[in-house]
Amino acid sequence: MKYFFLIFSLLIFTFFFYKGLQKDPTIIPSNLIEKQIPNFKLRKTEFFSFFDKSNLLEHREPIIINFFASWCPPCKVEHPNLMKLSENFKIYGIAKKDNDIKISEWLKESGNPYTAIGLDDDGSASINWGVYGLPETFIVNNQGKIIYKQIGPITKNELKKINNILK
Amino acid sequence: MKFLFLTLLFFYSAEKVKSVEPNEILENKQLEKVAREIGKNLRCLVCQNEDIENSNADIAKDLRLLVRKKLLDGESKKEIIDFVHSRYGDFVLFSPPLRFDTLALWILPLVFFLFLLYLFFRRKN
Amino acid sequence: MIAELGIYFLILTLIFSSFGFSQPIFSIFNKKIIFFSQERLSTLIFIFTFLSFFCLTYSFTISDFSLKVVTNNSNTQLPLIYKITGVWGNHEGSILLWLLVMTFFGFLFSIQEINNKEIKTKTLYIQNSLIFLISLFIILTSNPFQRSFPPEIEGSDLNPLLQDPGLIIHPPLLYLGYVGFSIVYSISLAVLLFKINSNDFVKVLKPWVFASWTFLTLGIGLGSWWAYYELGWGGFWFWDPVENASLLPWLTASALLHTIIISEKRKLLLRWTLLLSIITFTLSLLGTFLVRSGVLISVHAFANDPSRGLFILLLLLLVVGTGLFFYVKSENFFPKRNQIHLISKEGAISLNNIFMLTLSFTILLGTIYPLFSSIIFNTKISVGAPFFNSILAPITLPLVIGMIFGPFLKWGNDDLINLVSRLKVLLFIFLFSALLIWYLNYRGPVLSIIFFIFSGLIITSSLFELTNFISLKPKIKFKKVPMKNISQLIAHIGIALLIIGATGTSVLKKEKIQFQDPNQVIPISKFEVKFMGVKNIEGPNYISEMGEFQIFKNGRFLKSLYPEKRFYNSSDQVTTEAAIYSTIIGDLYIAIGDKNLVDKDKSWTTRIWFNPFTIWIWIGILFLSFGGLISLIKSVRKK
Repeated sequence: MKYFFLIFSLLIFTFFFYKGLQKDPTIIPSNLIEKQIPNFKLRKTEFFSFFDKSNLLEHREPIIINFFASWCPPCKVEHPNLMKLSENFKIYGIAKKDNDIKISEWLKESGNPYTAIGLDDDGSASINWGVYGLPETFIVNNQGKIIYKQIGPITKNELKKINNILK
Repeated sequence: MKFLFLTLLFFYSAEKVKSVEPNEILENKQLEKVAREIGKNLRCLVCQNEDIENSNADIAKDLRLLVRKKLLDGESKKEIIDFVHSRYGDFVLFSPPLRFDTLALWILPLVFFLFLLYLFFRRKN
Repeated sequence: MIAELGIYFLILTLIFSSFGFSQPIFSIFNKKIIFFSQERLSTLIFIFTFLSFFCLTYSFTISDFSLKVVTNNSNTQLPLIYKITGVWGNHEGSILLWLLVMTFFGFLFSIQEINNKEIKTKTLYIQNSLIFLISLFIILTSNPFQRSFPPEIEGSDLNPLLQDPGLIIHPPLLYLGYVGFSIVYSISLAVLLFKINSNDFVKVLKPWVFASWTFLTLGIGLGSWWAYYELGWGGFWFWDPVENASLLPWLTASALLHTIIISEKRKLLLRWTLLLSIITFTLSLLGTFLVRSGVLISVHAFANDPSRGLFILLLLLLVVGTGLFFYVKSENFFPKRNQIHLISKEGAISLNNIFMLTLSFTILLGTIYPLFSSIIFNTKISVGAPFFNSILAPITLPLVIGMIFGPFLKWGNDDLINLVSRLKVLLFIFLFSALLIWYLNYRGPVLSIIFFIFSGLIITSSLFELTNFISLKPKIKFKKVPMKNISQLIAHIGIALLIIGATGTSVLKKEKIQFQDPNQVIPISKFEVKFMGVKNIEGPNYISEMGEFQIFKNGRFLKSLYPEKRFYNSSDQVTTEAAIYSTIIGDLYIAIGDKNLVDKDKSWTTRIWFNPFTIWIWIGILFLSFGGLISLIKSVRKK
């Protein structure tokens, strides 16, 4: 009887640690999935179209919200994939703690995937969306509900996943 | 491997240098004390196990300022913690909320204790 | 060339330890097959491992960048001492150090004088088998002698945080503790596996338990002290998973230590002694697994590699599975135990053990709960300092009560009313002490008052115990105090001092953070701190911004403190070196932040703390270690 208990608990522990080895402890899932877009305030840029929450709710098809910055290296890495996405879907950009001119220079050189851009100077919009690093990307459906969050740059694999979701 | 590298780049590496900056500290000592209490319960999400009071990561600083701003606006400790919790989920709280799935965390130690009492002191024939 | 030698010696260790494991098995079929005795094998294995470790150290010393570990963890500009300590400032080197200590202790055990030859041989059998597994792990997953081709010209550097005197001895001390419990495990498993019918095993176990516990105490204390002065904001314990991992075996070892006392004196709890031996070493291994596998997030995290994690997991399973299996199997092997009465010395010790084990269990639970929860419930939660701090008080306070009254209880069966009447005087002294401490602290938070009172009671009760050894008639004479009482007194007083220091530092801390101008004076506690400005200084491998602060007390100049911010040349890392002025009543702790860029008038962000009673933490830990040392010496001498 005691042997059974011993073997059973050892198996349980093994199972858990083995599973634990396969998980990435640094990925934090979003708490806003299946919830409505939060309230947020942005500052208008000098060079690009602006948007606010009401603009996001106007759509009949899914849209993408991408948190980025011109000073963020992984954002530059995902940029080509964003350009690809922007061919079929509208992408709204929120630049965190960034500079109008630097954004404009970068996008002029690499291309602009964004339908509109807003500036989050104090990080409050980022907090409202539960963003903790850059880049982070959200997919919002046609009812204003957040259905997916991508943490980190959108790589080729992630691009496939996102395209599947958007269909 | 490349993805791992990018993910690591993604996280802002926190130096072990700073904590609250002088210009963040509230004038009102009582409010600042509450801010610290709240801060000790909030996790710096990109650090390796620090609270927002003891990290100089961007997100930690933003959250510190947010907490103090909300306190000045008159919000209560519970309201502020609930707000941050609603945005970032359970992970941001250093003491897990009391729920069905976290119940074990609080109950198991007691069960263990009683079990040991039984093992040590039971009547033996 | 030297690196090749290093790996060859390691392979020799593997081969010879495999003999240790396999010979007895083959000898069942052919008695003539034993070429090497376990003792001889232990000696050989130690020599080989030592040589292997020497080769690695040599490679670091000459900055042989054809080795990957040297490239990743060292640098030609590094001072020699840190080139050497860089050997264990990384995963591969530190596991090799672990192996070295394991073979060293095996060797020590082999030359120890033990009456019962069977215990000696069988213990070494288990130890050599463990050594086989660890050396296999190193060769398969953590080879420190891996070459990088082409060789680099310069290394990356040792993490600046690790370039510190504290880090020279912290890992070795800690490993002496962790790995010492491998012998404790080996003895216990040998007794269980081979059904060695002897009460000697407690005597054999005792010195190893005390030695390992003492080293572990010092190792953890050193780590905590290092974190305090190195990390820049005066914390000494962060409930980081790796810190918790070191505390778990320490707590079970403390329970084991007390259980051995009962086992020796009253022949009770023999099976608990064996069980705790197995659990303590398992927890030592578990600590290793948690840190090196990538399963948890921790400030201590080594480079993570799942294949290592898998191997260690299997190793853990083997060690704990085998141990517990034979433990359960041995149920009828020991004489029927008598009941333990709650009101008795062994009752108090047992109750305290229960609290220590519960604390250990709770800390383990809190540390791995996020992992469980993410797999079962698919949630991601954090269990951090607030949780651990909240469970600490309810468990520590009953422990303290046990420490206060335990020594006065009789063995076997005591009577509560009798006890109270015996201790009439002491209870009165307790009341007086409690009121006095309360009066001195009434302005502080309630929890700190409670902890101070309880610490005071521990000290009072220990001193009162000493009065048992003073006879008053016919004239005042001091009887000789037995060593075991001395070690107990010193250790328990150590705990009291530790509680005082920890409570003061965390609960009663005073803080002043501001922009400070040169010549501006900030008052804090009874001191005045005058900022004199910041200079740029060049170090061996860094550039430093060094601040000068003059400390005054009641207008009288005491000393100058020089906190720094160091910018290391080879990496982009910055470290804060706080400046600390320690006194008996507390530490003045100063760190500089950034230059104030807004008002360009030379003011800097300065952080000044006053941490009451901090020094008593370290003194308490030294007392604890000293108590352990005395017990160790006594248990070795008795043979």
